[in-house]
Amino acid sequence: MKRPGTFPMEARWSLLAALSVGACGGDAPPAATDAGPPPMEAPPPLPSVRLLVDTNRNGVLESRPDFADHGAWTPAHGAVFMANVDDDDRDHAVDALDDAVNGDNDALDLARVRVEPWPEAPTGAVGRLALSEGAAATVKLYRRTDGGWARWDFAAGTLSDAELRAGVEFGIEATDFATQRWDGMAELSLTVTRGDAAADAAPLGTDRVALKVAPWVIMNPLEEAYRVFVVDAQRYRPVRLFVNDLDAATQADGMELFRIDGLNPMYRSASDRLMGPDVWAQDIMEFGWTGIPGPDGTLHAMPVVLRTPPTMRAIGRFTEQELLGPDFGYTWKHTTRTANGAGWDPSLDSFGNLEIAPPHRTPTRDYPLGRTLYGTAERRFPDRDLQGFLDAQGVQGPPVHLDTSWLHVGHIDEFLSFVPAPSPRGWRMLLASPRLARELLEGIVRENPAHANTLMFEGQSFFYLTGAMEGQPYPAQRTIASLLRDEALNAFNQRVQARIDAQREILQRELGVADDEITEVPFLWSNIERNLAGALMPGTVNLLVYNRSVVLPRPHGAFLRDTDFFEDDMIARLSPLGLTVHFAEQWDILHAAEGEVHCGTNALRRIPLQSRWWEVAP
Amino acid sequence: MKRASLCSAALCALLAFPSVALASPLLPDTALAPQARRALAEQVRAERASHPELFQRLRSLGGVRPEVYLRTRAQRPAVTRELQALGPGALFPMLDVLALSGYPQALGAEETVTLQVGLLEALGALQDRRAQPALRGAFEALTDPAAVGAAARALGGLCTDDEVAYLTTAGARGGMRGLAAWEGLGACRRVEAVRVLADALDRATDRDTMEALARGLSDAGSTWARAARGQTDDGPSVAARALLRAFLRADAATRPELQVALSAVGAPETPQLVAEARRAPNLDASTQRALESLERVLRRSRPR
Repeated sequence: MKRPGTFPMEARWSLLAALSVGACGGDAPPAATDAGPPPMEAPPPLPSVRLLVDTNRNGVLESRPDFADHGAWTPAHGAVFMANVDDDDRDHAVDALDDAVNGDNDALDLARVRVEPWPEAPTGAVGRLALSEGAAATVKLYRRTDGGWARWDFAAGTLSDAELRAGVEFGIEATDFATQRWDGMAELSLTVTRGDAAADAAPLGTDRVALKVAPWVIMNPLEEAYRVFVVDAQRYRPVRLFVNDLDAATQADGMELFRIDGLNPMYRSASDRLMGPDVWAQDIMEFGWTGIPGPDGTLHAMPVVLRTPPTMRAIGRFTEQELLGPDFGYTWKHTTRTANGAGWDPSLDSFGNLEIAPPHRTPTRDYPLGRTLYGTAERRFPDRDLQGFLDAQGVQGPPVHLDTSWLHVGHIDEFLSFVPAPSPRGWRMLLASPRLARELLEGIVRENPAHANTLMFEGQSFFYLTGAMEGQPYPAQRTIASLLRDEALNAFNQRVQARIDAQREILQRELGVADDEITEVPFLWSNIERNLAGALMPGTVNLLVYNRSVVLPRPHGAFLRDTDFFEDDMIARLSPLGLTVHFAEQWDILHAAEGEVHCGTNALRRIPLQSRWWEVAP
Repeated sequence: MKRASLCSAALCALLAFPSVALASPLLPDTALAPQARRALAEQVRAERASHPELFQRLRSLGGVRPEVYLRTRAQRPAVTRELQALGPGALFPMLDVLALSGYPQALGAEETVTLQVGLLEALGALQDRRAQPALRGAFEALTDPAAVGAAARALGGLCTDDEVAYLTTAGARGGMRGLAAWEGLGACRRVEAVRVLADALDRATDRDTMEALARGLSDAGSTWARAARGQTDDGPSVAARALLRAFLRADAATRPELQVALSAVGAPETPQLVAEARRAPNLDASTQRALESLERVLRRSRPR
């Protein structure tokens, strides 16, 4: 949020800063100090050759406070800058990928760097800037000019004696976030020499500053949502049923529903054109944000959408085509099939497999931005560039790896979610529980043996003769008794429960969640193939949460006394948490295709502008 | 410097659809002895004459068509449930596709294995002994571990003395088929099968074998399965004791699968057995911690 050309020269200076000057990078002879009210005691003189960045992270450049220890970077101290990945000039390309500053709004995304004035710079003095080797490929510097900004050429660019005397303003940006190839750190140095000096002559002065690129921070489900996304294609009845229910729920809550046009030719691959649209709105994108200190004590930040790696998912183009824009960033991490090698499973690139445990504290550590969770499976792995990117962000880690090898789809949202709760922690963990489903079904029959013949999933089926999910249709409905007496199904569910219990042990240990902070969500699972599990009953843990509302898959459970027992059960479990519970019809379009409501939706949330990611130790 | 243009529609289509092979039988001819093959062909001919519609239904399965499975969240082929839904009447149509005629449409490599697995799993769910020659032929002739595993589970589900002996012998031979045999034997939930697996686990030393046996025991010893059929036996107890003995001597990498199996069996005495194990003298620290973790998991898994 810094305005070009408005860098207040701070008159005040801190004793701490003054005392630490001796430890700074500047090593030229002392120069005149800043103007300002006469201090009680004269501050130590500053070196002549000085680079200034926002070391104390208050959003403004201040000669003395920001000079202190500006060559080092720690969570407590050090300048930051942004990956400039939005599109302020609306040319459908990330701003940082060209060599221009695209207008005043784009200039706001540059962190400021200043070569401080050196009024006594000798005639013929020449200044040269350099970037540390690791950062050179990813970091760009722009020099402020009368007409705007000009890309700085590190190899050929020099500062004249006149410019050194007057001082020069720069803006710095990154073309990307930290990755497995770059740790996000940049060291910028300034060296001033005599113009006629020999190459090996001692410089007149040098200085260097350390900066760190802002990470991509994943939004967590407790943050205020303001827009829900779904893929729409009204001519497909199953899609229509789901979108209409979602529309009713969001309208009731005053929430914006954004319908991604699933019929847009640009968003349809060959198979999408043959069949229905790619409806997995959760899997194709993950919302996060990035930001640097603004001058008013809050962040200058932008939301940034991360696109799923697989190139063949045409619906992923939506993120670049419609979300990338002014103050809305976009990034896409993917490598080639060859580079990924055998074992790459594109399903693990879906962002239903990437979740954030909301902010929390454990006995050993704070996680103020939450903690990354993702599923892994032995001998199957996600895109290597995606994994490297996620691991490199640092501020929501180290990630908790959960075993999803027992799932056919393999995503953690199949058995796990988080909802807000009126508790000291502020949230609860929801975990799938076939054990509870079985107990509930047994209880129904115990209460009235005639209920053994009650149909579950009445009238529902898998596959259709034509259209989306074309195949041999087969009915899903079966009685409660047939579920309870199915030996193989029960053995399989007992093993699924054991798998979930093992992940629960990891989650409770890593997140510090107590038993009474977990809500078990009852549904049974089936063996999709190869002893890999998928939800048999609609997986009601796989839900959309926005603010104080949740949208669950309609369970199509047992209708007793004119209501669905499992709908009533979920309302009873979630309403006491202060949540408004909605159900959406999604059997045909999501459940039958191994997903549920969470998989078919996404939510954009407000950036927590008071966040101070830089204080989070990686 | 702008982002490269998106892949062309043609390239996307190539990536989306794996290369295809000509339609062919899913089992090599040699997988069935000539006499068994002739007998099966006779039965198939008779069934086709009386129930042609069931054979017709197997000619177009949604779960192996890329344009269908790319719509699913897994984006991988899967056909087991679709085949299971055809019911017992599909026995000979499925055996025909598996062992005689093959699938009438061209399939890629992944779809081919998926169809092999799906047919073997669906045949296994029928628990019909008439499928036994084809199941044994598949177990011995197929090379993909997933298909061999499916054949082993189908044989285990037959649960005859012959099949228990057959899988026990195969398990003792080791290798990929041996591991599949141990896991497949778990589909037989008779106490005799549990004892075979428990004895084998007591003798096992390598991680792969111990994990396969643990998965087999978690299935064969399941208390929920016994509740479903309304019978009880010593199976869960035998399984739990063997799994705990293995847990105590296993290395850290092997313990998680043994823990899952102990939890999956759900024998009522397991918490007590674990508590006794914790009181044993001279337990090393890692074993103590592993038992504590196991105790917590078991405590949470008790019925509410």
